[in-house]
Amino acid sequence: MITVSEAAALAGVGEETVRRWVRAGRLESRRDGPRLLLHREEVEQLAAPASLPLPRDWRTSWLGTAPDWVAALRRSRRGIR
Amino acid sequence: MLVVDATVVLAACAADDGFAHFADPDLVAPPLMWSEARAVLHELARRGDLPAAQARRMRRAVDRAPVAEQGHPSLGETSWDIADRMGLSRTYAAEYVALARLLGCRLVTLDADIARRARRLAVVVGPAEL
Repeated sequence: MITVSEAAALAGVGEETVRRWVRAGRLESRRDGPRLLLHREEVEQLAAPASLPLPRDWRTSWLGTAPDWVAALRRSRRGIR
Repeated sequence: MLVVDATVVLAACAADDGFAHFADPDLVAPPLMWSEARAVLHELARRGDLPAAQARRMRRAVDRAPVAEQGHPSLGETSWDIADRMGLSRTYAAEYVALARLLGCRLVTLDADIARRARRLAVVVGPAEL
C-alpha cells in the first residue's frame, strides 16, 4: 500500500487528483489513522493508458458507442458496483 | 493458436463481424473468460451503461464466439506465480498470460497495463497488431 503523496508522484498528478480518484471510486483505499492508503497496482493502472488501440474494423459497433471494455473489466475485477 | 482475453472477445463481439479480423482462426481462452465477459455485461446493464437488451445480445454473442475453452493441468499454479511476477494481487489477468505461456502462443488483449506487465513472461499483443 502507498500513501496519497506516493501515489501522486507515481502517477505524475497532484495529490488532489488522487483524492478525487478515491472519491469517485476509481481507487480502493483504506485508512491507517490519518493516512489514506492505496494499492500501488491500481494507481499504476490509472496512470497508464488503459487500452491498446482497436483495429480499424472494430471501431464501429452495432452497440452504437461501445463501452470501454478495459475499464469495465478492471471495475468488475475490483468488485466495485 | 492465440489466447484471447475478455476485453478482446467483448470488443470483437461488439464489432460487425469482429472475428473476421483474426487471420489465425484458432482462438482459445481459459474458462474464466466467459465468466468475466458475463460479469462485465451484467454489471454494465445494472449500472445503466448498456441497455439490458443489448447486454443480453452481447452475452449470446460471447457464448457463440468462435473461441474454444482451453484448460491446462498447470494453469492454477502457473497463474499464481505469474500474478506474483506481474505485481498483481489478483490472479485473473495472470490466467490468460499463464495459458499463453503454457501453450507457447501469443496472448491478445486490449489492456495496456497487462501487456506491459507481462512483456517478459509471454508474447502479448493488441488486436491492432495482428
